[in-house]
Amino acid sequence: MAETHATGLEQLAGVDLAAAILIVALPLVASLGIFLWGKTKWRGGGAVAVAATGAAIVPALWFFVRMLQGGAPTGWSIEWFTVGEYTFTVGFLLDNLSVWLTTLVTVLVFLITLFSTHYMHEEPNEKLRRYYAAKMLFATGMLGTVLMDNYLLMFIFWEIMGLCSYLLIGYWYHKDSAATAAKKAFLTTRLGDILLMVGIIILLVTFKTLSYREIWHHPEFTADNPALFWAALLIFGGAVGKSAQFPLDIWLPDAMEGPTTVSALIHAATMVKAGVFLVARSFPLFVLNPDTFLVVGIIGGVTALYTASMALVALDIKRVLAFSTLSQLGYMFLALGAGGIVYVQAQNGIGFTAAMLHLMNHAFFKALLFLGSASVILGMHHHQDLREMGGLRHKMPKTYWTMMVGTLAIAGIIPFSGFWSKDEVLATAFKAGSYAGVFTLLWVMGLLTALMTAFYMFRMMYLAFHGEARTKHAEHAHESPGVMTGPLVVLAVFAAVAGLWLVTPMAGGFEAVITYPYSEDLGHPHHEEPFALLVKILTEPKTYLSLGVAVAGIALANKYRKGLPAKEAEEPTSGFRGLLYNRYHVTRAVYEPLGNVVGVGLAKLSDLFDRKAIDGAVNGVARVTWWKGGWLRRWQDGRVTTYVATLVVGLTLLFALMTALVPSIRW
Amino acid sequence: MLPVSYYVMLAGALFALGLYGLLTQRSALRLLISVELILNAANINFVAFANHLGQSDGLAFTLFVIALAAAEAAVGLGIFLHLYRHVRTVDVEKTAALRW
Repeated sequence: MAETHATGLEQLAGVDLAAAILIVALPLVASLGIFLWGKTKWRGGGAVAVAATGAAIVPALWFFVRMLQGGAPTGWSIEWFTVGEYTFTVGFLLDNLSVWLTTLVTVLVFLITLFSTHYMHEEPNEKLRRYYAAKMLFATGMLGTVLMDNYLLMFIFWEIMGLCSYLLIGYWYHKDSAATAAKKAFLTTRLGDILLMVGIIILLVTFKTLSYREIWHHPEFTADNPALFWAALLIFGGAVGKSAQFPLDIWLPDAMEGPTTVSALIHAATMVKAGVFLVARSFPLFVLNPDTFLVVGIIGGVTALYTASMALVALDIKRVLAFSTLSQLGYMFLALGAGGIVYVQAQNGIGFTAAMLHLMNHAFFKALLFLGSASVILGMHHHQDLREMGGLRHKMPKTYWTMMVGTLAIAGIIPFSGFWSKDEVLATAFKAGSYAGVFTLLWVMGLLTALMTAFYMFRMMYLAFHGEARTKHAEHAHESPGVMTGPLVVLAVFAAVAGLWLVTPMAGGFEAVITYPYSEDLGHPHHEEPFALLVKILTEPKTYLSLGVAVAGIALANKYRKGLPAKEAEEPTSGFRGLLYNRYHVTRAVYEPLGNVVGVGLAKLSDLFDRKAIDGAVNGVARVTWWKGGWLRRWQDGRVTTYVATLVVGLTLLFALMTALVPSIRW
Repeated sequence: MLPVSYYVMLAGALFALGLYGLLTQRSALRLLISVELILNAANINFVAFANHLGQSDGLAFTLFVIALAAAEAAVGLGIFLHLYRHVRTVDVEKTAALRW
């Protein structure tokens, strides 16, 4: 195996290479080990999982610290196999984007795994084995997706994530709803994956390679090639599936059937971010055809508003967070779309930075909120309906205060993390509005989403933690032990301060570290000094507009301090609230008919073909054989005389025939 | 020296006799005898034409046929003995079942 230096990066070697491999290998080995010995020796494997993920933080930090010190991107790749003119490689790409995200993922995986050792402690070992083995495999998938240097390996790890998501949503597979939700998630994301695969194949056919950097530096990597426009859109299709954006958003709310720790890790903090990462990773491809950014931005903006409105009336604590996740992911795509336009028009990478900052902040505060809700659910003895809660503030103070930090962060209250990123997202959308008018509309939608976000988050907090206990479960609720509140506190600290990186001179500020182009050879990153950015944000009137919108949302939620008003206590079936509660009836109005007509129709057609054509042919052959056999059977009667007679007649006929047909034979 | 047609006619008669026996008889032993008649009809033909053409090939074939007939009779009789022990008859009409 020869090393290839086509990527033009400094090659990883020695300890660095080992560290990079360790990041992916540690969870993988842990997964295999837990699968083999988790049931018996390792008592479910929780301790092993915590140890492996904890250990994976070390090599991640190794690269992270070096990146903060201004180290150049590194890579490593070897030839894997060659098919005709196509060569596939195995390799790492450790630029700022992947190093930063790897660190984020390892920290989150570690904290959430630690949390789940207590959250899942009632589960029997043979089921825990499944849980931890899948969770570790998932971590492998996510880290691999981030670290790999080509589309092929990225796609493989991407699919591993999809598999683990399926396995973990269906963790309680004996429950019908969980099994169905798992299937739904798998099939819906698969739709996106097919698009992604077609996009990747277009790239492969065009460039004969799938290595990111080889593609970016390929002489044919130009806007003249219309295939690349479609490749970008198809890759975005994969992102839409994975990140559950409109119209493939239907699976994520149902994915809440899995354990809450799974929702926290996979369906809030990491896997659903893979779609955002994919677009960020493929940003050069989108830059070639700026029109694609319109699609990205519109899908993101629409999803943000559309799903945030569903959270307004949700009655299940996890569902509020699920809708909120969709909405926040929409923000990220809005930022990427708007940021792309701004970059193309003004060579300003701020939108890219905003999306990535929001990705990080959201990972922290949404993981925090999900784990907080897990703590609430455990304290409530597995009841997660907001109507049954109330007054938990005094019984679960640590959970309350940490979740409050997360809520303030997601609502966008200064100086919590969400404020900085959300403000940047909206600022980018506004700026993009001067280049493409539709972004002005999307900016308004983003503001509206911010209002809704603050409203539904505080509604949820008030309903769960304020007022009087409404059921005896709420009365007897208890605070979770330290192994659960510990991760909550750590996440709360991150959720509070992570956004400040934008305006602190740590490594020159977040924008200096994570901006587009994220690699010097793609152009010179332009960024503002953190302090200048801070002044700019604080003197910008629109900052106070978004802040005011958030405060207004909180004020509107005030009426829930005492619990749900009587008319909202029932599950709404009609009116505007019913429309929101039933997710605009999209499932019933679009997907079900689509499934019933197209899906069932296709199924019936293939069933018909199977039964009539395939089975018909097989049975037909059998029937003809049977029928003709019955006739031929009579000649085999076991009587010698018959055989002799047949022989004589046959031979006579044969001779006669040959005499008649072949005149040259003379007897 | 008789013309070769006489021998051929004799062989034909013998063959017809054998064929008749093969088609009409029910006893396995008689069937065996009929087969011998047919084989010997062929032998007469071989010998007659060998003599007529002055070539010894036909004689060699006759020796093969005799050996074959002997082997056939030995195997055939063995089978009939076995058959008789099982079903107490060598009537081929009664032993028409293809399996037990």
